[in-house]
Amino acid sequence: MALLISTATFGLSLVMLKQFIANGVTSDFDKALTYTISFLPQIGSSFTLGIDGISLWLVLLTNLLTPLAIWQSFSSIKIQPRTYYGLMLLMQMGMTGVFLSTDLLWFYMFFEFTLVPLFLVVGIWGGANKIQAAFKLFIYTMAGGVLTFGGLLFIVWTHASQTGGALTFDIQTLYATDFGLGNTQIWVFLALFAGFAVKVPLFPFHTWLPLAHTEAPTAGSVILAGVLLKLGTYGFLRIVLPILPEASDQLAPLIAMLSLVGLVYGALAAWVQPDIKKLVAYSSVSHLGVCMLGLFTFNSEGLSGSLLYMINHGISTGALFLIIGMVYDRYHTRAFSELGGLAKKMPIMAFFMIFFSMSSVGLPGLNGFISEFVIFVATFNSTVLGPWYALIAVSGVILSAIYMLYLCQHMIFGPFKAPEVVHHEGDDVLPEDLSPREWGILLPLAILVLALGIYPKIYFSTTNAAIDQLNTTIIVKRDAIQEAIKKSEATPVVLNRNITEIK
Amino acid sequence: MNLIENPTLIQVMLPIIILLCGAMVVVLQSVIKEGCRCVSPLLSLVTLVLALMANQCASKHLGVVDDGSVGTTLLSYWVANIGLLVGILLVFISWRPDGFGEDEPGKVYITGEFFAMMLFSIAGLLLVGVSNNLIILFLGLELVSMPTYIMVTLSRNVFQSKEAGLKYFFLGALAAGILAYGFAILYGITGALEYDQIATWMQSNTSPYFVVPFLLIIAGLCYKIAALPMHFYVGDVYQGASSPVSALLAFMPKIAGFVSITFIFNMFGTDLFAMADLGHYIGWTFWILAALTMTVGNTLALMQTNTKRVMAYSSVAHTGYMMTALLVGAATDAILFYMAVYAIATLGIFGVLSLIEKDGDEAQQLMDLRGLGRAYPGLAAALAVCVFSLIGMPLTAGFIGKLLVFSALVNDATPVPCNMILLVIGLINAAIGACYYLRILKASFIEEGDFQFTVYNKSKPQIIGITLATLVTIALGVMPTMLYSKIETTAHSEKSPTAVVLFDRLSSTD
Repeated sequence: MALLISTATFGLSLVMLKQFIANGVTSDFDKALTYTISFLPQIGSSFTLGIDGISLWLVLLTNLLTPLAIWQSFSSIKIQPRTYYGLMLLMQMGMTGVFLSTDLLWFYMFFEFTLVPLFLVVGIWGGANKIQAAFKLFIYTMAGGVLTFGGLLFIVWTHASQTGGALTFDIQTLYATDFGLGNTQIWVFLALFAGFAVKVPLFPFHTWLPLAHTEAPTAGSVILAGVLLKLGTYGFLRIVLPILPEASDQLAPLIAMLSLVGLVYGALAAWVQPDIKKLVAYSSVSHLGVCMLGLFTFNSEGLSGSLLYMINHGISTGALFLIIGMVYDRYHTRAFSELGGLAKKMPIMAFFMIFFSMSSVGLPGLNGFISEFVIFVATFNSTVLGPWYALIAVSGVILSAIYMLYLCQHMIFGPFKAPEVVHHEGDDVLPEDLSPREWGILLPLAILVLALGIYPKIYFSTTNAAIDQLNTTIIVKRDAIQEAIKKSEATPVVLNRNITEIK
Repeated sequence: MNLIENPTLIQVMLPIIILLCGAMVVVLQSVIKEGCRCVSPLLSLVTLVLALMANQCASKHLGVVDDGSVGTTLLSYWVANIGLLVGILLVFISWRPDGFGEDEPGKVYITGEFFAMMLFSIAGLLLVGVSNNLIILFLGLELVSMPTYIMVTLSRNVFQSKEAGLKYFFLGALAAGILAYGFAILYGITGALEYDQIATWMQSNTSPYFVVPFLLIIAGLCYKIAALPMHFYVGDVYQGASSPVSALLAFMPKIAGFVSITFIFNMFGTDLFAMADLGHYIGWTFWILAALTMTVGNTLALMQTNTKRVMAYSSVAHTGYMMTALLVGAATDAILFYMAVYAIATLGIFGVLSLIEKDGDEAQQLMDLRGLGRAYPGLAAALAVCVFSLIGMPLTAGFIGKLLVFSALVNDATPVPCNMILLVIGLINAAIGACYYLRILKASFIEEGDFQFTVYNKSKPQIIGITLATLVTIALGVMPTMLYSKIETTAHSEKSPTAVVLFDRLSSTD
């Protein structure tokens, strides 16, 4: 039942895609596809939804992954299934809502709301350490989220006091907020950073992730890695960069450093994990470091590559978690020491595993390569970052290849090793290799991986206009602020970059 | 709105008179007819509905009665509305058609006196709302609290509730004494009892002793709202009373206290902090109290293992959030909305708690809730919605309440100094609050183990009450304008000396 609803939602999103393309790919939120109801006019917030090139693919990703995750859960969720599927649908609503909102309040509301079903899903259907995982992810993310909330309120009220008191939460309108030349931008940036950085997760705020990923049920991990992490990067892209470009510019080197540290650290940590799921969890930390790097390059290739990276990571890591879940359903273990040489018994699974691992690493011809390459080129060319950052980032590719190949080598090749399967009463008896349902789940993802790898134009053609416009907004505003800072030489302004440039 | 002629005493007091008469009828009939358990709640419902209707009529004549003692304002109208509506919900939550035997020791029983006391308490709340001078205010506050002392003591047949009642009464009497003393000194200094007259006096005169009465008054009122440093009683009292009584305690004295503080702060004029010396001093004291209340409330709640004590200390924390809105001065509508939302969610949680029976008494420990999610998913879902509302999760009314309160702080036009720091403290406390609220959910949904107790689910009115609370919480979370757009007018009231409107289009900049 839930599968039907979820798939129907996906169907709707495909319709939306067609409509969007049919209307001509414009850079504005397509007016024909917006929907507004009045919500709380006293504070200027209305329930507005809208789609543009940036949100489009993320919505598609969400609505693709959720039905697949639900479909996969058929074999792994045995207790209280109805509650579970209800919560998954609630999560889909929350995530789609985040990407579709053009109203800042509703963005935040959906952003926080996804925590509710996630907490319950991890807490009730999770693994051995589920309570700690559920609490940690909820409290950590919420703590960051409330600080973001404060920052958002401050942005709205600053904007209101500048426009003569007209309160609005509309994101596009808030792009024009002017924070003056002082340190206010930095503070607001830090406030917003708190929430989004925890969600991304950016090193060193990532500690909730390995725990949550490992202890969540399979579908929970898929949704978490595939979509929920993108909420953070989307927040950076949509809100932080355009509204606070000068602060982003100043702090970009710092954030890029954190991303790179996360990249290398995540990769190295992944290499030594004894648990397959934890390995992939740390690989998420590592990969999203690259994503964040792309966001702060301040050119449109970087933004575009970063967005594509979000999509790609969602697909490939989601698929990896799905496969690991399928293995777990059969052998009820995730430890390296107990599994090995599965290619002998499960060739189809092996094929998909290698396929998606290569996609995750960034093998040319598959989707990961396109996004990584674009981000590296953007970082290299960036005026804010530079070649050195790109250099370190590229080394991350090697590291990710190391742990992924390590994973494949031990789990898929080599002597066959698997624990005895004990069939409990009422268990589904799963075939040794992947059942048609299971590789049916993986097939759409594989097709998408290939398609985006060989013909990325399907992505770039729909998103370029929106990305360019966003990038222009960011750069123009940042340059304007820097001009204003230069002009105000008389008043001492404490901004590091400014001092060096005046000299 | 008829502003030409002042309303008469009857017009202003009609809802209160209805409530008082209804309360006395309920008391009488509960003495005469002991057998039937449905009459008291029904009578209370009828009384509340009649009072609600009378309140609508009263709102047509805004103004102060000729002798200046009471007066209807939009604030009083809305306080009455909210009080009566929550009262109706409370009647549903406490209504057990089949009841228990009164003789069995340790059993929870709700008698006719409970409903009568509840009606008296609500009448007191309405009286506080319409009050226009200090004496009537004091009268109203006492009328709110006195019945609650009785309710707490009588609510359960165990020693705990007697102890709780006694503690509550003694400390409450002390607080009332402090309050009365403060009012007396205030009268002595200013020579006036009515709010307007005191405010006028304060504009033009000053006195070196002026801090004293205000500190005493705030101390007394802090007891009512369970703010620091008068919050110590909440844990034992909420634990000792039965769940419906705890629910009433979480709402009635609090909103009465908040309205009173609103009146007191209104005397300072539009801007609490602008008035030199005194306003600054009182304002900063309250600022610190607000910050500490939130923090201490949350910290204490983290250490509890008893659900009702968690609710008690969390109510202290919620008081802290609302106190920050009090500082803003013009955020009365935010406070009313938050109060309503908080009351409804609390009623839902206490309603669920009151249904669980353990050894003839209520189940109170967090661990007692183990397995509720599996055994009674509907009840557990209602509990979850109400708990998420209190945490402040979006799509529930609690989030909107916090949004409004924190927005009031951020607003550039607010006079509160260091409002950003207070905002950050508030936000962090909201996150800390999630920790202990999640424990309730952890116990009901996540913990392994079967549910060991029985749930008294034949009590239709209680189920109706809980369902209503849950639905309203979600409805107000998604469509807050249902309530909020109407309350907003409170801030525009002409009778209140506060002229700053929360969302006024001011052109002031920093």
